[in-house]
Parts: sequence; C-alpha cells; structure tokens
Amino acid sequence: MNISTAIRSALKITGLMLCLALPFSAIAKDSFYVITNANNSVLSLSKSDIKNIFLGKIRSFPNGSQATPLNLRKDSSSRKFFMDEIIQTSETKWRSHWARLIFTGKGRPPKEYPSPKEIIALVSQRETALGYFFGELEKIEGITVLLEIPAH
Amino acid sequence: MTANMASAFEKHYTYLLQDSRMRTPTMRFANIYLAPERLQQIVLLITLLVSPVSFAFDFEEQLQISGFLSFGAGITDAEPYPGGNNPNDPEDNNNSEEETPKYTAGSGRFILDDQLSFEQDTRAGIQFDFEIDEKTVATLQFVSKAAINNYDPELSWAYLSHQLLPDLTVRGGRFRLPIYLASDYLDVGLAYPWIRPPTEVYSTINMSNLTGVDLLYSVQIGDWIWSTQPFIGTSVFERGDFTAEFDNLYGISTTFTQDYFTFRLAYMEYEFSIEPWPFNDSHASLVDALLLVGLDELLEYHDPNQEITRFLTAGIQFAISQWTLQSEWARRKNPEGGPAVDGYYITLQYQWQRWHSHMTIAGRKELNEDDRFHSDLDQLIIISPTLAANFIAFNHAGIGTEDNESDSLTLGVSYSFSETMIGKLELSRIENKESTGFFEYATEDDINHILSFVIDVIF
Repeated sequence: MNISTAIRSALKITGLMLCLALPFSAIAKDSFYVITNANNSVLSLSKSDIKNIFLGKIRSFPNGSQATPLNLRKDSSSRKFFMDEIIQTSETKWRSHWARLIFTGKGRPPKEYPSPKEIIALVSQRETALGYFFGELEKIEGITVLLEIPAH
Repeated sequence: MTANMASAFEKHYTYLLQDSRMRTPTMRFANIYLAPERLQQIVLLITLLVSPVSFAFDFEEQLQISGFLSFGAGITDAEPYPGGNNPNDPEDNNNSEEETPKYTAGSGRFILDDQLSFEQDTRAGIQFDFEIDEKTVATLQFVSKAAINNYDPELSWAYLSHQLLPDLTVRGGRFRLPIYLASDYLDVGLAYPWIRPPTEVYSTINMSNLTGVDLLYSVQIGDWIWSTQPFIGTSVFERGDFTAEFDNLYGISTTFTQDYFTFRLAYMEYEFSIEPWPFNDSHASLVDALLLVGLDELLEYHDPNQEITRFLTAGIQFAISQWTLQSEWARRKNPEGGPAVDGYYITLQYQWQRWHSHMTIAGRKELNEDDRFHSDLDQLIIISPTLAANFIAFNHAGIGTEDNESDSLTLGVSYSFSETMIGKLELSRIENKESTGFFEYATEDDINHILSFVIDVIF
C-alpha cells in the first residue's frame, strides 16, 4: 500500500465518520427519516419496500411481521417529500389508487396524523408501526431509523 | 342453433337483472331494497350492534364511510334502418316501427339511443367499513342506479373479512366476482380512465356478485408482489316465473405486480341451470313440437341445465412516466355447441398536469359461429319452417345482442377538478361486424357514434 492510497482511505474513513455523526452534530441538517418501533426486529427498509407497504400492496415487513403504516396529512411538508421521493406519484393518483382498494375491500389507506410529533409518539408505542417525517432527528427513545434521505 | 340457448338464458338472465323497466329481481341472499330514510335506520342499528363488541364505539376510529357518485349522460347518432334484409340472421328483424338503434352494450338492456339519456351513467354508492377488532372488518355497500332499480338503494355487498396473517385474509358473504382488472370497482368511475369499462371485455360475463368465500394472499418475491385470490360460491337469480342458478362456481384470480407493471390472470367455471325447464307455456309447446319432429338431440343440445361454462381472462398494465398502457382479453366458452366469445381492449393513456386523455380500441369476436349456428337451423328449416321461425323468435327474445361481432374506437379526455372529482368526455365509434353488434335495431357493417360525459366523485 503506497502513501497516497493510505491517505485516501484515511480520508474516506474520516468522511464516513463525519457522515455518521452528522445527524447528531450541532450543524445537523434536516433529513427525511423512515422509522419503526425499537422493539421491531427490522433494521432497514428499501424505498420500494416502504412504497409497497404504504400503497397497501403488502401488509408485512420483509421478515413477515405485521406492518401498520402511519401517514401524515396532506398539508404537511414531510408528506410532500414522502410522496415525491418514496411513493413517486401525485396526490390525485394516490387517491384513485386508494379508491380502488377501498371499494374492493382489499385495504384501507393508512391513517393520517397532523404532525411528525404524533407519528413519533405512536411509533415509539406500537411495535408494528411504520412512520416517516422530515426534520431533525432528536434523541428519541424507542424508535429505529430504517431509512434516511438527506435534504437536497 | 339450439345450442345458442345456453347463452340465450344467460343473456336473458342478465337482461332481466339489469333492465330498468322490469321489477328488480330478489336475490336469495340479502337482497334488501331500501328507501333512503331506512338506510339511516340501518346504519344506526348496525352501529348499535357493533358497539357492544368494542365497549365504547369510537366512531372515527372504527367506522369508515366512503362513497362514490357519478353523474353523466350519453347520446348516439344511430339512425333507423328498415331491417329484415338478411333472412338467415335471426336478429335482423323487420323494423317497420322505425325504431332507432339502441346501444345495449351486449347486456340486453337499454343503455343509449338518439335521445340524451342520464340513466346509464348516473349512480351513487356508499360503503361502510366497521372495524370489529384489529383483524376483522364488516363491510356493507349500497348502490343506487337508475338503470337497475330506479335509484332505490340496493345492498350490493355485505361481507366479513378477517386477517389470518398479515398478508392472508379470508372473506365470507356477498362480494364482487373478482375476474377483471376493474371488477372490484366497476361502479367507481374515478378509479378508471373510461366513462364505462370497455363493453367488449366487461360484458363477456355480466354476473357481478358472488355469495361465497374467498382468500386474499400476497407475497413479495424480490421486486415482485404476487397476489392470488381463489374464490368459491354461487350466484342465484330469482324471478316470479323462473330461477337461474350459477352453481359450483369457483375460480382463481392471480396478479403479478412490480413498480410499473401488472399482469393478471383469472379462470372460472360454473354450472348454469334454469328452473323450471321448460320455463313457460310457449317454451313447453316448442319443446313438444321439437320432440314430435324427432329432434331430441337438438333439445338436449339447447338445454343449458347442468352444463359447465368456462371463463378465462388476462390483463396487463404498464405505466411509465406520463403514459399508461392497459389491455385485457377475455374468453367465455359455453357448454357444448354454445357460443364461445373473445373480447379484448387496448387503452393508451397520457397525463398532462390535470388533464388525462385516452385512446381505446376494442373488439368482440364470436369464435364458433359456423358450427353452432347455421347447420342446426338449416335442418330445422327443412323439417318445419314454422317451427324454425318459432325457434328463432324464441331464441331472439332471450339472446340479447351479446354474441355479435363488433369493433370500436374511443377517444376520451378528462380533467381532475380535485383529487376526488373528475370530469370526462368521450366519443366512441362503433362498427358492427356481424348482425346488430352491440345495438338493437342496427344492421351489419353499420357504423354509429356515441358521445358521453360524466362527472365522477368519491368522498
């Protein structure tokens, strides 16, 4: 291993450490977080897993346990980020998707809550809960971050 | 020729079921007709019944009410023609009254003619989902349509569903037969791009509700989700003078879906029967006459009782950015010698902001016209022209127009006023390939247009 490679790996490690430290550091920027209860054995989810659960296509986490998605109301800025980044569809299409499922008896849309505060509180209480929010992650007991997307 | 009866009675069944001018039939299972004020009482009663289960009934948490409403109208440019040109065509009747061709969409019931009509495309429905516990839901759906029973609300669904595993649910009761892509939300206009789902496919089986049990199972396999829904049950139709039964009905519907792609396949079988048989006096004398001329085989051939009808359908949907391509195909095979029909449609949709447009081509083909129709008829004509004429008349009364060939092109544009309200405008060009196609009193190779609009709302 020559010196330049060593320096490069050292920088990489430092960079990685910085990245990991970021959400908790003083200069933390807002991110988008998908969270579940800390007692849930699931540790990470892909965008498409999250999308499938929120669209009611699948009702369980990849490990087979029940998933209860919690949504934010339409006026929430977190919801907008969520629709753009994860669901990748318009509110109109979301609504007609759920109209199909409701009148099919094959599912009902995730319940909606007014603010991230309620979502975080519910997720920390219910093992099956799956929620999201956009903001700063404070140290919260009882939740696991499954996916994080930094703000653009 | 006689074998056509199987379909004839099936048609007759749907005709009677859906015709607004006849009194609505009573289904064996919970077919309750309600005045609007009764609806309120029933909801209240159900609320009271469900409440004790969950001590304090939390209205907002445990009851979900969803509804839909469509208000629309349509008109055709069809002009009367004299008719009776083709003596070999049992449906080509002499049109001395100069009746305007009526678009029946293969259902045997009136849908549209040359007067603007609001009856076909106007309807409303309300659905109550009562959450009994975390895993059990009771669902009731009431639908009100002019085209069926003059806007009297009808309890169209009533079932209990229970989640056995996160992705395995069992349902029991009365629900929609899950055979087409849009089967489950046929009445909910907002959920599909057209004003009415393409007739060429959606009328191959008109029976829509099933009393029985089904299972809903989904599993994720890599990027794909595989959902499957086996179902079993019966469908019964009773009227003063006869009962039509769809027994031993079972099938399976299965869907593979990925982010932008859906593939669906469904298969179903059922045993069709009519009681009494022969079902009226004129039919009885026809049967006697056929026996007299020694056409027992013909009789057996036309008796649909205890025969099995098979049905297969496939559909795909592919969505990429602003474009969606959707297509379905369906084939119905009736018992021995009965008509086999194929229907298909292809819809291409484009979305631009709040505007959507679609182009749909569709067609209906009869697969075995030659071997099931003319040879028997010719034989009968030689033996007894009068009997043959009776037979044709009898057959014609029941057959409706379903089994005729037709092609159509539809252009539609729609505008989303909001997420819950959409306005649609459509122009269809319908060409009859054989006989009267999807019209009554039309002619072979006739081309007619339909202009329609609708406002679809969900709440």
